[in-house]
Amino acid sequence: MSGGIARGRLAEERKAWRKNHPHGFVARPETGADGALNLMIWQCTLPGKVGTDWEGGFYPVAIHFSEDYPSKPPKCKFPQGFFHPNVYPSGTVCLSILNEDSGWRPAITVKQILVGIQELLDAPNPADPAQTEAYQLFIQDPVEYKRRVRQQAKQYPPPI
Amino acid sequence: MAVFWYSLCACDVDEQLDDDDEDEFKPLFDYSDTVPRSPELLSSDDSDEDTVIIKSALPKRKFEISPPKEPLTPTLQRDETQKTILDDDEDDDSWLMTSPCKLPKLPSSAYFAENPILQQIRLQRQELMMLQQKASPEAIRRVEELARMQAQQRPEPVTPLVVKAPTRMNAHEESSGSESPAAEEKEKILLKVQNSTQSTQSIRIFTTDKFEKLFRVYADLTKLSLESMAFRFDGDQISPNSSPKELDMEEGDIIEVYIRS
Repeated sequence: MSGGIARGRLAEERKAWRKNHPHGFVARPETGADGALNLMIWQCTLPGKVGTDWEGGFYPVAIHFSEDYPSKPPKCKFPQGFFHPNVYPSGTVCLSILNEDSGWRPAITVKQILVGIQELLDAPNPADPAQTEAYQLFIQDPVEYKRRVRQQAKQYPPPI
Repeated sequence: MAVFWYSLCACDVDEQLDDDDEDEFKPLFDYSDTVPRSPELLSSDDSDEDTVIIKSALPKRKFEISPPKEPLTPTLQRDETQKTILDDDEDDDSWLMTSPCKLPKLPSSAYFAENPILQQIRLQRQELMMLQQKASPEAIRRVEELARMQAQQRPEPVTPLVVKAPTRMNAHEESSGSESPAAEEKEKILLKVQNSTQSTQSIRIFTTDKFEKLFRVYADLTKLSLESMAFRFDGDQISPNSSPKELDMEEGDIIEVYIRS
């Protein structure tokens, strides 16, 4: 039943997304090899915020929903090895609103999740590091950190 | 009067033996005339003899003790006229015992007779109130049923409106240009073209139209060259040769436009 609830909610999320979402963002359920839509995994893209070092990059994020969604938050993953202090080496995003014990609320929408992650890109939380490389550069060598961010933005160019 | 009454009472006792005394006192005692049946009762009681005499004596003494004899007699009259049967059963005692007892009994019986009627009326009123209260949801249900019936019936009168719609569609098509006769199958869809500043232009085209038409409309609206723009839907670039129907687009879907720098 919970799966039915999750799929029903995700169908509504998808419907709402198609009608209204911020420019540059992409969020669509994964299409299987057989062409069937898998509502439990969404392939998304979020743009780096304009005016920041992340501008120009369109970063892919996969959102994995569980059968307990929306009671429990989904897991959001960048590509493995993504450079950010609050992204685990596996690519999993560490964000308060995605933490079941912290800021997650069932009412949070997919759009709010993606916008929240976009905000996190240029506003890392040094109190909760998830990887050593980006965290140490962010604390010890801001110049090098900035260069690495801009370099990474070029790895994810705009779709056109 | 008391003396006469006493004598009468005595005479009544004696009356059973002597009829002459009554004749003499008759003019004086109109009550005897007004109470013609009491002597009959007494006469009927004659068969009992001793017991009747004893009973008759007791009330007579009570009459003597109680000075208001006159009011009692009319009560007796009432009792006799109204309920002779009771008097027949209880003889002389009925005069006293019945008069005070029956008076309350009669109204009491009347009250009891009336009260059940009132109670029935009240019960009926309560039942009516309950029925009204019960009837209200039933009425609501009926209204709902009627509404459903009307809703079911509405499509039928709406159909002519639908029939009119194609005529309008045909009019548009005729005005717009030569279209295939199977214009009824065509549906228009409203698509929103959104740029990087979140501003959107809503454009309505046929689902079977190619996006090239939409791109040109948007270029005219924004006064930008088609070559500088790229349109994407759901992360994928839109081919000018495709149509909304081919991309399974729905009403209100967003098309993102990217401006090449």
